[in-house]
Amino acid sequence: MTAALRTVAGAWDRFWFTPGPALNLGAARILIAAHALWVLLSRDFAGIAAAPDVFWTGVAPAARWRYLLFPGHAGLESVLQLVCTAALVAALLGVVPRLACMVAAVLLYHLSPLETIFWTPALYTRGFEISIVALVALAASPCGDALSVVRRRTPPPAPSWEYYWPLVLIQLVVAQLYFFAGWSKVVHHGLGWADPDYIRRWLLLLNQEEQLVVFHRFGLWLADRPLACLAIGIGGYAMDLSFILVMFWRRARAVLVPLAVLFHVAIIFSMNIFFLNVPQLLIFVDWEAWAARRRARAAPAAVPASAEAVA
Amino acid sequence: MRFPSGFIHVAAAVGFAGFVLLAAVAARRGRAGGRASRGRVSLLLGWVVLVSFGAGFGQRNLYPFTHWQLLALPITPVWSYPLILGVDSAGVEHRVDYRAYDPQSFAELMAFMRRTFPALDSAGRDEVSAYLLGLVGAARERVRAGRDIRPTGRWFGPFRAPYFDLSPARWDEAADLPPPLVRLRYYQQTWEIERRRGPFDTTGVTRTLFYEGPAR
Repeated sequence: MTAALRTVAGAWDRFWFTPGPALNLGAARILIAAHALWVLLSRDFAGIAAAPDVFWTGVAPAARWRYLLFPGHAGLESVLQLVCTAALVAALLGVVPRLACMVAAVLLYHLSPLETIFWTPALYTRGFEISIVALVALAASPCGDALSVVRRRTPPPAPSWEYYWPLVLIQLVVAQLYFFAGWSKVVHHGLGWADPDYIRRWLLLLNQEEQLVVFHRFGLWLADRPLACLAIGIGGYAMDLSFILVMFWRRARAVLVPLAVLFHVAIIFSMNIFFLNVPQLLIFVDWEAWAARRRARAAPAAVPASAEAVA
Repeated sequence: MRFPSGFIHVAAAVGFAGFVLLAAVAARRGRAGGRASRGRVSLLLGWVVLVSFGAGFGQRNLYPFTHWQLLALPITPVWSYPLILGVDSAGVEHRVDYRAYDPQSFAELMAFMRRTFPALDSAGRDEVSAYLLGLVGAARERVRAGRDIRPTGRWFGPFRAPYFDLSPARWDEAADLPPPLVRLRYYQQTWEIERRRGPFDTTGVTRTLFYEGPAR
């Protein structure tokens, strides 16, 4: 193997296969399953499938076959939705977690497009994109070795590469969300996306259609201020394109993850957009380190031997 | 580069199917920590990196590997959006709460109204209208009976996962309800973005009736 290939292989191994704690993977399993359950139980995919066949008029055959979605099977979709719910609960609790995660992932891939399929099969921002990929990754890993109601390992398992790569993959998929959001702006507009006039038009538009507006004061206030629009444009570009740094530089997480949360909160009030994937930013928290700090604070202070001798 | 839509569907299906198959292979627990295990996982990771970055850089939606096009599309100076109003027996029009269309998401329904509904024949449009009127009527009855307007997600209460596009609630209590609605009217609204100051400003908004549903 040439030196260059060895260098690449070494970098690949360090990126994906550093030993990691089982706790963080268990926490990821709980986060992903809980988030998917939250969105799934807030929707009724079986009910959508029960719409009259006329709604399927514009759905291309290729789209139907891609997701195995066909009209007239609302009863089957009800059963599948129940099975998916059960699988996510099992994954959450760590009960046969690998099988549960895979079943949930495949069923969500089948069910989630129902939300938009009557007008597009190319959905995104509906809350399941990251969950589906994450659940498949979890299914291929020992994600039930920690934080499982049925399996308590004392002492906890030693750190292993097997607990690390799925977490890194899920983090990468989350980071891609922001990076490609920035990339799509570059592709479609170049630097022109940050033009204050363009940002202003978005702010105006997202605060004009009464059927899609809950908050409008903040958005219109920003739209009236060219400097604010410029700051949004530059800040949005900077945050989107730099977010990928969280994959290579841990300190970047302490800045960019909270910034992303603030950004999404501001978008709710200025653009009436609720980004369902926000809770999945918790994937960047090092729960093992947090737990270790708590254990260290809770441990009683050691009594020096000389003091004991005096007592 | 443009691809036929069928090609994109096949590519996306292959992308996801390959991911699932490779994950199943990687899940085989060979000798723990063995090179064979890492090799299988590396194959899986290589596939995901290829498909996900391919979708992102190529700006193709290969769900669940998506392009994340957010606020990236062009905005024209003139914008249009559908409007559905309910009509009571006296002929008075009323706004309909977005939640009354559940399980259909309001924004997705409006996209269907823009893209597919105009191309339906008369019988198809009547069928859509009757279905939606049924949903709206059932929602109205739930609110009148003091129940949640939506039949799903009740256990989450106010913490139910919202839709991507937020919409205002109108029918929280029986006192908010209009009289029973007997038909739906479908309008196309058009306005110049720079002329309109907020959601309650109708300056320059033109509203064209493009369909009136059959009365119940």
